[in-house]
This record gives sequence, structure tokens and C-alpha cells, in this order.
Amino acid sequence: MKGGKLTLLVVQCAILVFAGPLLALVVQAISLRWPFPSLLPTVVSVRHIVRLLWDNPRLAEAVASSLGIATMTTIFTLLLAFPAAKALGVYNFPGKETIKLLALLPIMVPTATVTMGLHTGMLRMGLAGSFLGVAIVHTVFALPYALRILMHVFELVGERHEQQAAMLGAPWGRVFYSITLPLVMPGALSAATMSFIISFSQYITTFMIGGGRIITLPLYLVPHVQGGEWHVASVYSLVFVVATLAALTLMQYLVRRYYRETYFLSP
Amino acid sequence: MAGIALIGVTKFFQGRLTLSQISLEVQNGEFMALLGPSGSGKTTLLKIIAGLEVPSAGRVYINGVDVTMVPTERRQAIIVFQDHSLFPHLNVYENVSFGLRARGASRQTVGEKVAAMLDIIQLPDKAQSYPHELSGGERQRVALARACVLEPSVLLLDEPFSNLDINLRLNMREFVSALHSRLKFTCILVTHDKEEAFLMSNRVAVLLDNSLEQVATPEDLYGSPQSLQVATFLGERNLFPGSVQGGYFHSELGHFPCDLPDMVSAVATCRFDQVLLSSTVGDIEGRIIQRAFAGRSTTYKIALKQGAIVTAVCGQQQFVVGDVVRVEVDSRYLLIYPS
Repeated sequence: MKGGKLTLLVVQCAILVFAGPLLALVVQAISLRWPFPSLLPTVVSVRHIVRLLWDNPRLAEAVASSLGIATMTTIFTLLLAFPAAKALGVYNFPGKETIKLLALLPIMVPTATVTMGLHTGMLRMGLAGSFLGVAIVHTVFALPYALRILMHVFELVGERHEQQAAMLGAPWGRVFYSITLPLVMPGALSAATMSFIISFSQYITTFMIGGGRIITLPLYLVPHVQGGEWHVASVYSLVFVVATLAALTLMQYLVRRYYRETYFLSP
Repeated sequence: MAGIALIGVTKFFQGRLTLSQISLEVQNGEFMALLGPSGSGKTTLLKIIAGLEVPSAGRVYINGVDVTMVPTERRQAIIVFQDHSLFPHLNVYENVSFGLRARGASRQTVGEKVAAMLDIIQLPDKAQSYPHELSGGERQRVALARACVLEPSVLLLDEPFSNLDINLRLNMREFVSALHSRLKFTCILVTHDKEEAFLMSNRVAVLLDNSLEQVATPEDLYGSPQSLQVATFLGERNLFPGSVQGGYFHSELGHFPCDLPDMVSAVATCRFDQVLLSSTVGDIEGRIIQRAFAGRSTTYKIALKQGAIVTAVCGQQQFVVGDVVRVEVDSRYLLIYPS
């Protein structure tokens, strides 16, 4: 069928678009020396990669900082997004649409502008240059995405199951753990994933708020790119990809262990 | 001590009046039907009794205790909704046992009670099934089991059978009646189906236009609707406009003795099945303009001389369109209201 073949072509192109750069990274990573105008790298080495990664305490520090800040950001974002998403998704109150718009603002206004404003606040609170400060600012940028996702899920799920659970005598905590959480889990997982990735990829915000004292993986990576050290930059980029994937896989696995895979949202 | 007592319950929703001064007493163990058209606030009333909504004014008592400000989880009232609201991510056993587990019952007690309840609803093999694997009737039975296993004082049913096909509906009505006889909870059944209300309840409360119009036994309600609104709502009634003078109601249908004071405009009503048709007996003459044969009964529309249309339902099938017939209404059946 013509339609089927076209879809297949589109999918294949999409895969190429995503896999291509990754492949390029891998090739760059193993090319120790690839001077212009050679068509192929002149020196290929894998041992160098090991040396780059192993004896590198600053890299390890950067990865740890990224992971730590991203985890904090995810927790803060979820803590804030859950009650807000439930209110916006389930209830009707005056000013609802305005609040929805306000919640989206951080991603509509240019990042550097927002960050400079936040930086002043952070300085005043003594949080500039601290992990907590950076995590808080990351939360500001992750929150709109998490809110949008969770809000849609709450709109779908509604309140009736929670009301039913309450009538059956379950206190609030039980209702949240046994009823709300499992039903919004797909949304919660998406929101957590988005928050983690957003925090992990932050550059300007960490740079400005961290004030040079907080070095995350993107901050560690960028000077190497600017300095033209493709080999090193590619290796660190791959570390970035692997670290992100590992963290997300772990998150999914832990959640799946405690909740059943199959549940349907009946009409 | 009444099972449920409502005193002056009033509810506003975003400025709109949904319930107006509802005062009602449901006896302990009584089965009451709450009858009214869609959107009349019946569901809101149930939610107020169960604690899902707070009344704008008035008080709610369950078993003599003022529960108006008591949160839902501590009241002994459970609603079973039309869409059963079974927890989709839990299987039948987990659904039915949810309330027991939430109250901290021991695993053994839970197991015994749930097994007994599954037997009562005749679904002992479905304990591990999930709601989406069950049929509509089975889901409704599980929803009832989930509520009844907690032996609540008050069970509130919000049009639970409307989504089921007719045979299932009849079965479920019998099932709920049997459950009620057995467990003796105080029950309010919300429905817009008069027949269902009459069949299942000890008393019927009619909610029209945000207020409680009449509370009576099915026989009293059917035979003597207290107001024109209730009579119209119960339907299947003819309406004859007329006036009252000198102790008599005057209309095209004739002149009937009437207790009401003199007034220019009044309405008399009688049920379709209270109109007698004959070729010979009767004061009023009319012509059959429509005939609908439905097996057990035939519905005729008769046009009287001055243009009024009377509907009659009877077992006689012999008249056809165009026949001239004589219409008679026994004055004992005629209910007259000011209009």
C-alpha cells in the first residue's frame, strides 16, 4: 500500500535524523586525531577514552553535580506540580485561566532575562553559588512542562475515584497513595522525566546562578567544544547521553516495581 | 431516631440555586425513592448527605448525629453512582475489600467478608478479574458489593440502573430489594423512572424545581398528587382548564363539585386510564382523532366539541378514528388545583 510505504519512509528518515548525530559523536569519540583535509581519522583509539574517563575527578564531580541537581529539581518540581495540577485540572475557580497563563511564562520569556532576575533574588537569599539555588532555578524552568503534563492527566482522571475512596472510609493519605498516584502515574513519570532532562541540560542558568562554583556536566563540556577539542567533547557528550539514559531507566524501573503495568481508564 | 434527617438544606452553585430548603426525614431502614426530572439537584442532595458537598445552609443528621461538618470518610453513608466508579487499576477483590482495608481490618476478616459478599452478588469466581473485563451488570453488582461489605448505615443509589438494558434493570431492581431486606440499611434511590420508584420504595419524595414537593407512599402519590406540578410531573394525565364558582368546577368536561374558593382559573386533572369511553353512556360527546393500539391497552385521543383534546387509555379496542364516542369522567377521580 502506498500509504504504508510512505509512512515507513518517514519513520526511517526520522530514525536517521536522531541516530545520525549520535553516530557522528561515536565516530568523533574514537578519533584521536583527524586533521583536515583527511577523509578518515588518522589515529583511532579507544584506550584514550578510558584514560579520559578514568583519571578524571573533575568529570566525576561534574556528573555527580548534574545528577544531584537534577534529582533535587525533579523532586521540587513534582512537589509543586502535583497540587497545582490537581487544582487546575479538576477544580473551577475564578482566575483559573490567568493562573494557567502565568504558569507558562518562564518558558515564554527569554531564559537569560528570567535568570538574571532570579539571580538577584538568589543573591539576596544567600543561595547564589549553591546547589540548592541552582536546583530552585532549574525548577522554575521545569515547572511549566511538568504542570502541563500533569494537568492534562488530572483532567482525564477527574475526582470521582478519590471521592469514592473517601466515601469508603479511606483517609487522605491512603486515597493519594492507593488511588490518585496509580491513576496519574503515566503523567507523573512523564513530568519527572521532563524535569530531570531539563535540569540535566541546563547551561546558562547553572552558569549564572552557580557563579562558577557549581560545575555540572554541560558546564564542563562546553569549554572543550569551544576550544575545538572534538575528541574530548564527543566523549563527554556520550557520557551525558549515557548518564541521562541510565538515570531515566532507573526511575522507570523503580516505579514499575511498585505499580502494576496494566490499568485502564474506563469511561 | 431517623436514619437520615435533613433540615432546611439549601445549596447554591456559583450563584445559582440548586436546592431550596429541603427538609426530609428518612426512617431507619426505610427505602425511599427520590424522584425528579434530570438536573433537579437529586445528585447534589445525595452528595450533601454523603459529605462530598457542603450545604450552603441547613443541617444533615445521620442516625441522630449532626454530620453536617463531618468529613466524608467518617460518615457512614456511601453513594453508588450510575457509572459505578470501580477503581480501574484494582481487581474485583481489591475493589470490594478497599473500604475494609482502609479501616484496618485484619486480613482474615477481610477475606471472609469479601468472600461472603461475592457469593451474595453471585460472582465468586471473578475475584481476580479487573473492571474492564466485566459486563455492565457485573460491574454494578461489584460496586454494590464494595459499598455493602462495609455494612453502612446509609446507602445512596444515584440512578444505578439507567445504563443497563431492560432485563438487567429488572434483575438488578430485585437484587437491590433483596439486599435491602437482608442488610436493612437506610436507602435513598435517585431515579427519574416513576415505575422504578413505585416498585422499590416505601415512600417517594418528589423533587421539582429545587424543592421537595411531596413525600408520600407510592399509592398516595399516584392517587393524590398534592399540586399541579406534581400531577404534571407524574404524567399520563389530562389537564382541563376551567373556573370555580359556587362550589362547582366548570369546564368543557362538565360541572363537578369542588371544595376550592371561587377563582377565575383552575385546572382539573384525571389520569388517562380514568377516562371512560362508550358509544352510549356519558354526557360529553367527542370524536376519535387518533388511535394507538399497544396490545395490553389502546390509547385514544378524542376531540371534544369546543376543541379540547382528551386522552384515554383503556382495554377497549373497538373504536376507530372518526367514531363519535361519549366521554365520562367519574368526579371522584378528578383532582382540581388552582392554576
